[in-house]
Amino acid sequence: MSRTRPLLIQITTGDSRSISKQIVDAVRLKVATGELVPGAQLPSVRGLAQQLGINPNTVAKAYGELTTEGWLESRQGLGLFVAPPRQRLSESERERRLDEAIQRFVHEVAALDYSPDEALARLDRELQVLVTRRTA
Amino acid sequence: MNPQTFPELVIETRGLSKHFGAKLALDHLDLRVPRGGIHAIVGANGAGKSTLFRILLGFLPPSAGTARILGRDCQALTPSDRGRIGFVNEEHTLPGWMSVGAVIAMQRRHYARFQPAVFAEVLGHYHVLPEQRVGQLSRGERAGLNLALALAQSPELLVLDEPTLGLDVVAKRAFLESLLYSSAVADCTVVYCSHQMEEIERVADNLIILEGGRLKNMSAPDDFRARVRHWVADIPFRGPEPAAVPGLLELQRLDGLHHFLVLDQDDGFADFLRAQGARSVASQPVSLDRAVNGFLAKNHAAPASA
Amino acid sequence: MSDLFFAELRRFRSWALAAAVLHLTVLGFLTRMVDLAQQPLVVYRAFGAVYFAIGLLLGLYQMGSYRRPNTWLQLLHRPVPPWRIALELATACLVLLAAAIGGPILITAGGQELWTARVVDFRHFLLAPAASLLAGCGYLAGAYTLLAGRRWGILVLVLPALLAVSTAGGVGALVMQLLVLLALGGLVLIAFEPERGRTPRRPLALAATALPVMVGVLITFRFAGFLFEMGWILAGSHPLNSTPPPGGYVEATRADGKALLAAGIGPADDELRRQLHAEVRLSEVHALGRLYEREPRRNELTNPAPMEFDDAERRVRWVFSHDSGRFHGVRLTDGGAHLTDHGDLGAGADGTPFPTPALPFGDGLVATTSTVYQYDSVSQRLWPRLAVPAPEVLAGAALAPVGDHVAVFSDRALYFYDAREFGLGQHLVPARLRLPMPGPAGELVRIDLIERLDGYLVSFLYGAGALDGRARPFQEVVLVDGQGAVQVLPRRELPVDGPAAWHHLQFWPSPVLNALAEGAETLFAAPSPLLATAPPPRPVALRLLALGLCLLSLVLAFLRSRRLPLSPAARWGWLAACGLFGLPALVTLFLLHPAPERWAPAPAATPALA
Repeated sequence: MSRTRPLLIQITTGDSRSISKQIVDAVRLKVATGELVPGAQLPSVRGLAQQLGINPNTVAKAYGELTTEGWLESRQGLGLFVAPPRQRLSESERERRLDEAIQRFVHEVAALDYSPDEALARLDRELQVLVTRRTA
Repeated sequence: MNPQTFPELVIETRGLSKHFGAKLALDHLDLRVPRGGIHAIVGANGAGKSTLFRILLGFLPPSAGTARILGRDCQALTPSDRGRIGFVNEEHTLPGWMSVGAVIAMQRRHYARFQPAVFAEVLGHYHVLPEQRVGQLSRGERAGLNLALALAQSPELLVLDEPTLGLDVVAKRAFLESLLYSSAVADCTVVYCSHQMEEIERVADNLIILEGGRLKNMSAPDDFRARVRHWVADIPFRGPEPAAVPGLLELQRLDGLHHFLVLDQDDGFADFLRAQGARSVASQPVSLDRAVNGFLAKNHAAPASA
Repeated sequence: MSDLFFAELRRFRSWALAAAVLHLTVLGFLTRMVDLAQQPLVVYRAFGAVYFAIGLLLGLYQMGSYRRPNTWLQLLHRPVPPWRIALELATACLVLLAAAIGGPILITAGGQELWTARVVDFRHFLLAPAASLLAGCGYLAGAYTLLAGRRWGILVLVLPALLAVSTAGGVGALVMQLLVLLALGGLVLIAFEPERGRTPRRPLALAATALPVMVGVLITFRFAGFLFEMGWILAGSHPLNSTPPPGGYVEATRADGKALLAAGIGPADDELRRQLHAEVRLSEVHALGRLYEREPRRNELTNPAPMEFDDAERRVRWVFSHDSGRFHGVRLTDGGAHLTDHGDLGAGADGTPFPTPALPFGDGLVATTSTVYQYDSVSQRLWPRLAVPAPEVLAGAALAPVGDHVAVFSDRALYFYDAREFGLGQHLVPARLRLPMPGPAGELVRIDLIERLDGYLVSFLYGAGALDGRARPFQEVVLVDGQGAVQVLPRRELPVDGPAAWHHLQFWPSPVLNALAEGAETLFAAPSPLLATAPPPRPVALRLLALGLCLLSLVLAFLRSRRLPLSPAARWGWLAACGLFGLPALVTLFLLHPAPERWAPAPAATPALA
């Protein structure tokens, strides 16, 4: 009666992000896109480590970071679960990350020769999808 | 690094030096490996890894300094100490004339804490029959047998000297799985020497870099990677003298752009580049592989510049 | 925990089996050609050398395979004491060597005993353990040279070399071999440590290693002297090369009989001497030779010569059996391979067993330690013909009659017997003349004599061992007339050519060690009156030199030891050894304790990038 949700993620070695960071990013994305719903149980540290062929400590570290950030919560003796949505980051941190993401986006898009309106329209459409998925 | 901060050190060397004639293999090495976890040792060929292991196991005398393993002076290891330390070398030297079954029987009698279940678990990854002679096994099978034997001894400390050298992908994968998920390694400190950065990224808790017989780094792999950054600057004309660049590991000029691989430089490095006349500056983190190789390559190129 | 033992047995078993089969084939082939039980000593020595070499090769191969760094680590890094690992590996090899070398010898000897009429004694079965022990010594010596430090490992070969010079015989020789085997085995166990080639640390192990190394240094020193002399001789400028100095010992050993007799008589100052000189010029000089260096003993593993003789008329070969004390006859009817029994042949009319081994010599003559027997083909008896009184030991005989007499000498006297009486009949011939020997039997070099009208003129040359400083050479010329009256001419003392320091080369580098080495050579050897010597005291100057060298060694060892990280026990031990044993101990100290690594630690490393 395992309620563990499969966590289908890929990690690559030789990446500029650490393996633990890759796991954190992947879980965050899956929560953000609603692929992992609140209350879903995550694979055990050992299970995920074995699935990915990595050191269990690395998984533990990633889970720890996700828990600290509020994405996951640990239930005594039961395991790790996706936490209910709430403000996971401080106001200033959110601000900083948004800035960073926008800067990256602008750098990338600038070279593509789209007009700002076109770019904004596309961005808006993508963000709407995110909103609908999350509320779905 | 105050030794008191660690509950116990499995390996502790103080001012350990070893020279062969004029060649210095270990140069005042102060290495303290705490109990628990997987510690990867990286270093170019001739960095002194094999010499270190042979000293640690009491097969070579140090020229100067002291070395302790599991708290015991390496020169005075008793048979029971040896029973607590597993060692797997890159050649997986096992007596080729013995049958697999005889080797297993011998190890079981020699090691009081031999765990047949662990042995079976690890060797299950390989197709090895007891009646086969060790000499007839493939390299991968011999490696598997060797690791299975080492793990089944329930060592407190397992030293692996390039165990996956020359193994194919499947054997390597099986080997790493045995190492990572076998129940025997739970209480075991693993010291793992390898050139395979991919393996290290997957398995290591701690990255120890040896270079020229000295300790150059001891931290989590991610922490080491974070210390290295790749900067690209558009500097007209010659750019700065390499010697003037702080923390420089590697400098390349590609298509008119200067690529710098630097160690321990914060955003202030951008100011440095601008002061050198850079018209644009960009930076990115690097992979562990790149960080370590850049680090080792730097010391290769200019060993006396430290 | 004997896994390593059985693993090693399994490892080499097919090699051992192949070696055993080959060995048996070779022995079987040889028994078709010759009687292996009756070979001269040199043949047995050659066999022994081959067995030793086989063991040596095994030791070198085995330890060569184990001493590669990773293999060595794998072998020794286990919760088993290293000495135990060594014991298991070595025992396995010793067992295999015993099987491959001793086994075929036993089978061959047993086969000869069962299926042929050849004489096989208990002592021949003892050759199997002897050969196995030799091979075992070779194995351990080979293993040790690879295990021990490069600077001294090879010197320990002095232990098996002891077997080549040991004078022990029979079971004593076996005991000697066993002792050498145990000593080498102990050294292998000591050297079997993770850190190969390390100087032993425990005082007892250090002493056990140092002692044979010291003797090895001493022997190497002598060998270097020997090589030097050989080179000198080859270069053609050695003083004794061509014409030795006149009037010296070397000249006397090389002179022909007439010249030696003339020199012994001395200047023709008086009538007697003039006459003697004239007689020497005109007479035929006879030389008396020794039968053997020392007399054969019951149950010795080997003989000085084959103990058999053939009766050509009856086509019977008589072979002496140590077990029965009699000769055993085999009929040579269909060639050597198919022998049939021809009964036993003892001493005298009733064929009693000989009290000591009977060595055939000359034409139908057989010698025990007291009596010469003569074989009579008609009666098929060995009749006692010439005897020396007990407890004298027969040493040599003139093979042909010397004038009217035949001569025989013991360790104490020269006897003449009537030659005609000896030529006729079968009775014991009484001695006509007795001439006491003027020196100890072990130093006798040669006896030359001429027959006079009434009696004999005999020259005795003594001085065997003089070139090693162990004898004072002299020549004595004696006249004996037909009534047995003896007149001794003044003894001629002969100087030993060359410097004394050279002749006493064995002595002054280390008198104590030399005494130890000589004691080891004669350990378990029964004394023989034929080997009796009366060595002169060593020259005072050389004694002082030896003492000075010991003191010098002591001082140098003291200075050296201050620079070495030695424990107090080791330090005092070395000082005592150097004071007692002199230079070899000092050299050994340098070999076992090389200078501490001279390596100035660089200034503390810049903490680089860490």
